Amino acid sequence: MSESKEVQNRKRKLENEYETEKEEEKVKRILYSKPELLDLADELLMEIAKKLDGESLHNLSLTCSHLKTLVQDKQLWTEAVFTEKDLDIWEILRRLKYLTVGTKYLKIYGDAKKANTETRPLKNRQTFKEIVKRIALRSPLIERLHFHQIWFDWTKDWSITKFPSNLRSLVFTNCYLPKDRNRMNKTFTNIFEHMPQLEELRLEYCNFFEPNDLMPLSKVLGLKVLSLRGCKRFRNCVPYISLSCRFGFKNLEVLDLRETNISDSEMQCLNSLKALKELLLEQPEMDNASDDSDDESEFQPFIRTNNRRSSSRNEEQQPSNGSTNNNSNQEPSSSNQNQQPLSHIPQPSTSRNSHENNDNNDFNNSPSSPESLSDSLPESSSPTEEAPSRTIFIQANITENPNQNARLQVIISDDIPHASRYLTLARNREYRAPLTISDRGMLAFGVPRANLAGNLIFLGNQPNDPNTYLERIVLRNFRNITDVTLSHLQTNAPKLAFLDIRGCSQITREAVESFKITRGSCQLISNFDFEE
Amino acid sequence: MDIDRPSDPQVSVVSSDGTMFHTTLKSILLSGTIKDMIEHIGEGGVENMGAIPLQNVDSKTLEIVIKWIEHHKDNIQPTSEEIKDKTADFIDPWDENFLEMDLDKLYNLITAANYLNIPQLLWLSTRKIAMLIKNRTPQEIRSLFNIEDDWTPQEIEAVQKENQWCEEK
Repeated sequence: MSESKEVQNRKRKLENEYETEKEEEKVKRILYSKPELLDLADELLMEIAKKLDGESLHNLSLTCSHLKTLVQDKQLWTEAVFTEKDLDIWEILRRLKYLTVGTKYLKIYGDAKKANTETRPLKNRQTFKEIVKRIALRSPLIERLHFHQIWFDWTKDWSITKFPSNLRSLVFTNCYLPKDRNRMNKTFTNIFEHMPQLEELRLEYCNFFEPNDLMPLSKVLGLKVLSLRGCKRFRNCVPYISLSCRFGFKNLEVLDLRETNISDSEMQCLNSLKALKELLLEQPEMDNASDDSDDESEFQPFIRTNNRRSSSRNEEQQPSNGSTNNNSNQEPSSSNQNQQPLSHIPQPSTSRNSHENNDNNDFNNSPSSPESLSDSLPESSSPTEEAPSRTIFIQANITENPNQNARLQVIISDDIPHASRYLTLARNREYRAPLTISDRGMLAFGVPRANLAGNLIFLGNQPNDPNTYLERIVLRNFRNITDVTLSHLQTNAPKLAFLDIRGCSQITREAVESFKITRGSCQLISNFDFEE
Repeated sequence: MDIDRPSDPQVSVVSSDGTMFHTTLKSILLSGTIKDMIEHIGEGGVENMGAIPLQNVDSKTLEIVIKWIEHHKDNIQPTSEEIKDKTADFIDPWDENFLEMDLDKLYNLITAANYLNIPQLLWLSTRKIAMLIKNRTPQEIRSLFNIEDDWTPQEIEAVQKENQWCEEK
């Protein structure tokens, strides 16, 4: 018995020793083992998380449940930036879950590109509506929103009033309206009531901008920055821009119209923007424009509207006939006389218009086979030169009766000289932009000195102040901007502090040097800065 | 001010495992914690002050910290509360090189920087970890930091299910 007791005791002792050894091991492991990330205090993990962008935080949250809880802390999401990769709609909706009431800024990249129009997920649904709905729900007080490459597929009942109303800055860049959708006309209606705090609005490289949007936008009283950079549909919008600039945009300070189709006529409206300090203009690069297939679709409505206007005459004069190329030389004079009532008063002659006069092209066009087009320039020397309207014969498939190769007439009067652009486009299948800015546009800011004005005629009241108070001007790649503009700005732009005229090939070194001498405080960037 | 007094007196600190380190007052003042301690001792006490015990920092980490504060004693204002914003991209190459160390050392450094209240060092070291997390998939983050995947199948399913339909066109 005593023996067995001894054995038991020894056994217990051993067990105890084993126990303590185990404890020690545990302590040792805690004390001397290598520390792990998750051993750090949450406070310190938070310091790390604060330095991460939205996408990295999202990845971190997928690693384990502890980090997931940590990442959901609302102080990490005052600014939500998801720009690391192009997200499809599912991924976007997942990211939007991180938004909180305290979120002030969201920047998110989608996957909208022309190439994947057909393969985008949920292409029959209004994904953008869903995105905006969720943002408004989770972060009604958000102040800045930036959408990049988001499908602008919310077309039915779209309205800006569904957005959070506290926005100070709203930015769309490269957002794409799929071609199978039609945008609503009233997209921006009531924006001025809905977003009284809006200061910055950018619609850059977006194909959904329409010139009539200028009207509601002009009513946003606090708007300081407006960018329509790269919006190709900004063109031919004198009515909208003249009204909106005269009666609205009261506080607009920065206007970015780079890579739009702005022309002198629109430029002349901008001088009524009293608060404007910075004006950015740039002629788009030809190379980039040629692969822009948007212009192709824009060609169609133009043909159609003209078709309607002159359809009755078409019926009289042009029996539907597929091969009338030979007749085209005789047609213009007679048809021009018929069209006289439609013709418009020509604009005062300028360098640009005189250039247009030479573009008196008669040619046939068939959209299905553009290579077969013929072009008969000699017509420009015909008596029709005096007539303000031109006649151009186009062989085209008319949408109403697609089986017939009917002939239709397009009248291009002098007040829409840009029209020749479409015709050139259709002929060559390549984008050329005759819409450009010349000295005429720039001289509209202030009143030019008599020796600069040339044949410029002021209709109506001249502005009282001969000066313009622009502070920063970017004028890039305009071939028709000459020393005249530079000389005008030299004397009539007292507040000018920055001027970029790179790519304006007509500006001479002498003019640049003379400008630099008289306006030492103004930073002038020209091509000559990059020589030698 | 006493003109004869050396402008930058020696100060000693002792790590948790008993190793003593010598450094200068100017560098050690980069630590908010020690700065507070010294301010409490008051004028004239610094020279007579013994070694400062730092219970929460081991000798290896303390050595790293001292190396850093001695390098930066002249270019950082100890009182500056300025924390660079998270998009700051420029990092002093010396710092970048300095932070090339094993992860476990880095964790200890973060803890020490926090305990000693050296905001710039804390910013740098946590940023270093953040840069390692950036541009990595969840799986890569797990293997890099030895994080155990503790999702239950139900949770994984829930994540996959959470996609909802958008409204009809």
